[in-house]
Amino acid sequence: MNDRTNGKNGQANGHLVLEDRKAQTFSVNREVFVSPTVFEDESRAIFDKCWIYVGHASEIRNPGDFRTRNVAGRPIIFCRDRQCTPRALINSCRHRGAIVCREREGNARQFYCMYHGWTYHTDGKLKAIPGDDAYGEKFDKSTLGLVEVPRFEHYRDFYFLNFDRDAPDLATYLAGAKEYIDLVVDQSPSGRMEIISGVQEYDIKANWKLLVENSVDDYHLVTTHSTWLNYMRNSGVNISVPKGQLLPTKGIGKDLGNGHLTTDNPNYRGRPVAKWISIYGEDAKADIDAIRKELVERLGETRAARVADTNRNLVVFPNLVINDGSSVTVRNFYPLGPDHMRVTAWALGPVEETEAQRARRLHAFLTFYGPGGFATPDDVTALELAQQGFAAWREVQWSDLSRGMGKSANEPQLHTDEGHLRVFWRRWSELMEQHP
Amino acid sequence: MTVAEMKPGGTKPASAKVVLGLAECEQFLIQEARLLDDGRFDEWLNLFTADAWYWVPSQPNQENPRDTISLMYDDRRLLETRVRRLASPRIYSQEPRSRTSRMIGNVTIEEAAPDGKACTVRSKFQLLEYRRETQRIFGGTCYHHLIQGEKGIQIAWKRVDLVNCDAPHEGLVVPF
Ligand code: FES
Ligand SMILES: [Fe+2]
Repeated sequence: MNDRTNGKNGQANGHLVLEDRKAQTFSVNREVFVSPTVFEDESRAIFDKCWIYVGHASEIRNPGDFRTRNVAGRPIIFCRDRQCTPRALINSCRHRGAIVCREREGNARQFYCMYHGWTYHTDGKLKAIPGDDAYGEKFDKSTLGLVEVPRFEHYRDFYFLNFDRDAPDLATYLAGAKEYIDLVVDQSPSGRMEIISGVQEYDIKANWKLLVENSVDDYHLVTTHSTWLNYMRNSGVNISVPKGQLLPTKGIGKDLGNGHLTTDNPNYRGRPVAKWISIYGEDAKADIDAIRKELVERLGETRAARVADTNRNLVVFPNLVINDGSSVTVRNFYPLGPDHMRVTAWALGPVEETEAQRARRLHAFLTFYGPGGFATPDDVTALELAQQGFAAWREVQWSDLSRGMGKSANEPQLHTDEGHLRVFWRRWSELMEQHP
Repeated sequence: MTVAEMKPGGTKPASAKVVLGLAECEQFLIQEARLLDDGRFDEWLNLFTADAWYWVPSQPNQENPRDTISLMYDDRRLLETRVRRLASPRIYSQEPRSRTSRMIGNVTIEEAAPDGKACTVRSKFQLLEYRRETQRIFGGTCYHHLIQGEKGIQIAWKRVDLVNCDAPHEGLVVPF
């Protein structure tokens, strides 16, 4: 119904996402990528309502371990207190506000505010105030601990917080995404994955939602990443594309409920767990076979194949991406403004991995991901070019996400379609429209 | 003391010739920087030995590229890929190409083989990069392990410690 050709709002009635089933079109108003109002509303309607990823249990292994990070715009201490309980504390002194934990990571006996010297236990409780005789009798120190986030839960070691006290529990929220997290965690013989040391951080001058799309958009692979595909080909990987397809294997894009989505693709390019390709070298063959064997013994043939012969790029709504392919990436990103985001990316691996296996994993990780990788810089370029194009959002109002709209409900949406991208946008739009 | 004199046991053999002196190393680094600034990446690649590695850590004082994420950690094969990618018209993160200008200084020889045919050179660098109306500055310390081979001086490994290695970065596409 919307007039997509002349770029006028037509009968959009203020809707920013338009689905026209009759015309088989799906459109997103480009205002959502540039508007300061939308940006403000998102922080209330989305980041304050959804479960937001904080960190992984392996990052705070020992009592007193902490990581400070910005989560949904708030300074957070993600720590394990001295009694071993994981916590997410708001990193702001109850006295007059200063950040109390000033290191990015480390191990703490207590948190000490350098402004006037209030100290806090690692569970957040206020420990001591210098000169506390100056306070009145009714002054209650027991209520002045570091504030804990309203909700804090984990699923298989992935910790999330929620600023909405009334939110459903995390497991319910994750819905179908759980199955895909399981496929990742099952790669470890003991069911324990860990964040590998080191982190990649980069900024993109583009709206954060463009990275949600890009992370699961298999339509762009051949065009944006031809130089990476050349590397695969030169390394002996078969990347020939069967007729009628855009990529070597045919995968699907899936709706996992609550705005979560994933691609689910047959693997063609090697996996540390556990599919050998020539890039790994002949001497890695036996090692990969052994990993595979363990997997089959533990999970059975079918499940092992499911874990080790398929790749997935998973979006946990709104801003957590887990890419499980030639390595496993955990990627989190936040808007710094309508046209600017900060990306943090970690590599994840089974705790059991040997040094050689780790090195193999990181080798694959670095060839694709990160500011020095062979793919990420071109993704960043694509997103920044899109953002630049949005400067004309008043004249060219709608972006198109109609790929796969012509299919019947029982035909699967391909990974190169945009059905899974539409899942994100429907949920986004729903939450934004619910917002008063 | 020349490199040849650093040999354990001390005395300088009468026939020894200083192969990799400070001046040679410095000239080599300047030449390397020039190849990179001029975009002659194939020639730059040729400076590396067949089993060379090239490493840009992501953490200050990072000890190991094999258990910790780096910004770049290339074996020879990946270095070739990096250079091949730079030659491709479809490297969109280099459209338009970066212009760079490098300064090399404070060159010292940290360690030298007794025969003077290999040494580790430490240097400081500053790199200006201009692309799409944005100028970036990188700086830090480079370590080159140089060897004197048949084909002249070659790089067996190169480590680049950026002052801001753990900062958020935009694309790092042109090598340091
Ligand atoms: S602000 Fe922390 S002690 Fe005053
Ligand atoms: Fe991409």
